[in-house]
Amino acid sequence: MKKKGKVTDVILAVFVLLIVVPAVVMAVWVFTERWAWPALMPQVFSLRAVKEIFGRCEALLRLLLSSMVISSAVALLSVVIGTMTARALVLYEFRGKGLISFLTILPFMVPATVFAMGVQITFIKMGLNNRITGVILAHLICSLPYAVRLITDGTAAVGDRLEEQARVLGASAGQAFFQVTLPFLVPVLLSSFSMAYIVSFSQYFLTLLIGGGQVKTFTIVMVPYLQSGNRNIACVYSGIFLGITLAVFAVFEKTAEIWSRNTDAEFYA
Amino acid sequence: MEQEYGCGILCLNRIPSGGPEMVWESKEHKNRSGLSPKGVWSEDADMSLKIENLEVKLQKENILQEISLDIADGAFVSLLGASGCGKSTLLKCIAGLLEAEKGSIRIDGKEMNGVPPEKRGAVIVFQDLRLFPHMTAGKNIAFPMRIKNVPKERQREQVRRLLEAVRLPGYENRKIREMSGGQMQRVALARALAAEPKLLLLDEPFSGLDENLRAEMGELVRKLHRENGLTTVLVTHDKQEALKFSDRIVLMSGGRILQQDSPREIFRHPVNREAAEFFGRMNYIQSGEEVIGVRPFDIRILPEGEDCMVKKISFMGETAEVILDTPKGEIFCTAVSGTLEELGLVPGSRVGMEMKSGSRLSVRVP
Repeated sequence: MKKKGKVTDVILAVFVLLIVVPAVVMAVWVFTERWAWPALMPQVFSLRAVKEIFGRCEALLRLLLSSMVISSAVALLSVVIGTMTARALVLYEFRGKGLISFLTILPFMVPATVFAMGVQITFIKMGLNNRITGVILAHLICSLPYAVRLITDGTAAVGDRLEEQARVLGASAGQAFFQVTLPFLVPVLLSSFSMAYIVSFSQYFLTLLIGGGQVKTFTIVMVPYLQSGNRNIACVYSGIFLGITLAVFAVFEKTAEIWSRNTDAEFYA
Repeated sequence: MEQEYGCGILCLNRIPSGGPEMVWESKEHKNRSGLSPKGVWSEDADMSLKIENLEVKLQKENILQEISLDIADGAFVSLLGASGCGKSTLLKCIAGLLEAEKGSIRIDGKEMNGVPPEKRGAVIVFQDLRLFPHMTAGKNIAFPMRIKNVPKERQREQVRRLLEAVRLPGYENRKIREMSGGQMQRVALARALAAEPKLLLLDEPFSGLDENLRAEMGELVRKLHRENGLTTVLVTHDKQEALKFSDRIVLMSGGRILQQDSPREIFRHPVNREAAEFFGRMNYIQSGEEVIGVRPFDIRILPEGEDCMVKKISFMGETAEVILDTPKGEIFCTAVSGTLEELGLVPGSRVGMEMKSGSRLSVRVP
């Protein structure tokens, strides 16, 4: 960021516009009743959409709560499984390590719609369909690659030097991990937690298929509004969605920052 | 003194098939050689560490082979060797951080195979110190005690005592990043002692220090060793450090033990050329059927005599290195500069030469 050329400025401006313009349009739509083509500004404003959604405050809260429980569970599981996977990949030598490492990022490459059918059939056989557990497991498939990738880098950076030292000083494997390595991993774990949370929070197709309409999340309720003509209601939902996403990121990033400052150690020490 | 300093000559037989083989007179000495096939010190009651036939592989590559080693209780032993010879691997293996392919390690008579590192009582002070950067100096030292649930009061007392022992009194609340290299070294040492190990393993902990600090830390380690009687293994590639501090030196090369002996023995009776040259230069002189090795300072330049010529004098202050052209080939010797001046030697002078050899070693004729 030392020198900023004109080209960088232009690129930056394009990106900002790409994000800001839709967000602004969305904000305008929240208060719009009628905005027909080719008018530049909406013809009729109203608070109907806002009132309609916030009028059913209890339903909205319940929806948010169920979404948050599912996404939090997914995020927590992702972090725990991700940490264990990352440690296995970074610190141990075993046969088929390359293959496992590749498989952890496979869901990045294969779209959810492709494997969703297989997952659904399997889950129906296992009796996991239409249940929250099933949805959480399905979401894990999408969120784990992010967690594994992030935590693998973090684990590689922290290494096992300090853990080895703790071990010879008398700490068991668990004590060594929790007292010596974990404090340095916390920022990465928080990042992967928020990442996994958002990934799970925005799943639509998988939730619909595995949840079978029984498991209601925020996205499940929001998407039909987007598809039907109810743009203003969809935009209220989108606004809430955006707010939650930003809030989750902000909270976790801030926590990570404060944590790093308090542990008084460089992460990549 | 004659006995100790006398046998300055190493004899090497030329064997057509392989490298030179060492032969010597002293029977007692031969028995203690690391190369003798069977462990000779059989009574392992007072052995703090006993390693038998250890073999270690990393990524299918042999790192250590045929390592057999006995370290007496309370001894100070140096593992000496060039970098990459497997010293550090051996240390990690003793501490339980690496698994051995074959062989056994016993600490205080107990088989360590399958025993996790935290139960072995062997603490390593690593080259890179590995202080916990998120803890203060005091917390670092208290770490092993905290793990053992030692009462808080006693922890504080121990930390204070240990900081005093390593001459850092009052450093309890100092952050690691606020300390110099030497101070960090002392904290690492204090932390290792706080674990009350049966075996203290030092992995070149002073290599990052300048010479003065290095000597000081060496003295400190030696002093702590004397006071606590703790069995200590020091890994080093510095021969002076090894010769100065150790009761015994284990010389390693290419994942094997070349020789293990007291500093004086290993210097005076190296088992082969490699071991000999590790501790300094050596002249190899053909003497009848065999080749003998003579240390440069065992060669005395005599003013009377004509058969040698001074080829080159490298003045080094107190001492000087002289290369002599002799009938037996070029010979390298060291002398005190004062003596050379008294003799008035310059390149080209003709002199005589004598090999100091109090008790000449008998030689097996091939």
